[in-house]
Amino acid sequence: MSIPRSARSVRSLTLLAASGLVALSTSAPAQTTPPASAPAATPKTAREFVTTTIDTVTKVLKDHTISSHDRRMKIQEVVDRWLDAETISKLALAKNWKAFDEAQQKDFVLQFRRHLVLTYYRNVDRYSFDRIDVYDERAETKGDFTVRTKVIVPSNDDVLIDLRVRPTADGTDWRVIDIFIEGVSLVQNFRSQFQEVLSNGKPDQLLQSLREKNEATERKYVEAENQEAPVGGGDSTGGGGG
Amino acid sequence: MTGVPSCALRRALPVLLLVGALAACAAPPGEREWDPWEGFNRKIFWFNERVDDYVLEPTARGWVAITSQGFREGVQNFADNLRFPIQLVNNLLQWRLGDAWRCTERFVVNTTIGLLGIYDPASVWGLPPAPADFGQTLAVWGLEEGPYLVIPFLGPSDPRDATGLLADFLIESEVLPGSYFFLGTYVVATVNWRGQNLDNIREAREAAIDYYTAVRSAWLDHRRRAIGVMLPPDENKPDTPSDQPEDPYDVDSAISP
Repeated sequence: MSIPRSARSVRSLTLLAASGLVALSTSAPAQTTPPASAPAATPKTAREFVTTTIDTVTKVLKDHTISSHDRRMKIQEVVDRWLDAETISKLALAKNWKAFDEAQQKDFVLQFRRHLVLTYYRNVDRYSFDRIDVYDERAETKGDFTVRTKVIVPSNDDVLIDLRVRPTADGTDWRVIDIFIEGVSLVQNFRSQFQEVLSNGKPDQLLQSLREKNEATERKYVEAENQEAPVGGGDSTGGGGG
Repeated sequence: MTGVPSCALRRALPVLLLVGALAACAAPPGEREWDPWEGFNRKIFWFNERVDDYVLEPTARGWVAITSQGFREGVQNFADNLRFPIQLVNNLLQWRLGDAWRCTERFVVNTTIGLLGIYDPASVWGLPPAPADFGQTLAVWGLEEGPYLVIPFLGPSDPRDATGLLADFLIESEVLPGSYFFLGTYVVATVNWRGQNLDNIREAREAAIDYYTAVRSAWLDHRRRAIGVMLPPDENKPDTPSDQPEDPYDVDSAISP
């Protein structure tokens, strides 16, 4: 009995949606400006990078003294900073990358980053998780690491989220280049979708639909934020959409 | 046990096993998502989405309105606990004796102390679930996955898993007290599960550029991982990208035609 395949299959997708969690957890460590000094040495390990990142994001998410608009802005900022959007774009477009001219590539990176950041924000925000544990890591090709985390959700199954991180060019920091939710790779998932869209359409059409999706999502956030009662005492920024 | 549906199914089993075996031939090399029946699959997928829009989701919303979160968790636990026969048989068939023992312990603990499985004290006491199904067993026995397949009402699958699903269904119907009980639990558990994932599914639909492809890719990844854990390393195993001849994380080779 029971919830067999239908349930399980949807669960994986569900998890994909939950990647908000992830995207968010990929976000950002504090303002450790990488010291330009140490040339080859990586000052922090991949695991430390992920741990700091998760701490920062968790803190923002659990801070309910600020308006949801401000919370969104903060999360978007950190996610923006700690995702390697260009690498993710290339990996997700794969061989189709070269079908885009330079301006289109730029636009794509921009829109895709916006898509990732936007789409996942609300997922993350609505999740009430207890904490995120970093429990394992594995060395990969190209100096990458896969850092494995477990999101502890009260009264529900834990969600396993793996982050693939790559050292930055100067070797002093890390960037997230893929997220796996219960084994489902974000990059792979988008790669399949982009491949599908581009097999019947042109780069401009993909860019167009990405842009429209982003705008629609953004509108929705802003509407919800405008309806929200001002939060936290004298916080002037309260519900304003921006 | 039981009634007509199960008899009919039992008669159909050999045929289905054969069909499954025939269909489950190897995918062409290099094809990660082999979907030769895409036209047909998309139609069924569309149909399933409408079933969800008009029946399952509204029902689930009603269910959520009249039940508490704690109650729904109880239903979920109860349904999970009833999967014990499937898990035991398949753990044994895969010769995972430790897991077979653990799922037995879980069943005993949760059925007694957990009040017929409504609670899950076993997980708290260091006995995590030991899931296993017949689709997985067939994979362990060496049967190929075959092409992607969307089944009416049930969703994403492949011939191997569809065969496994049927076998698991037979195991359950053999053990549970009656076909009405069986069907009833199944229906309630499905509605319950859908109710627990209202937001998740809406978000997944909204985030996707092409929802059909997003589901296919996610389902294949997820399923292969559930199966891959049990298999010796092989080049199709998504869990170890570094073992693959072509590194999918190499930007230069990824973007070269």
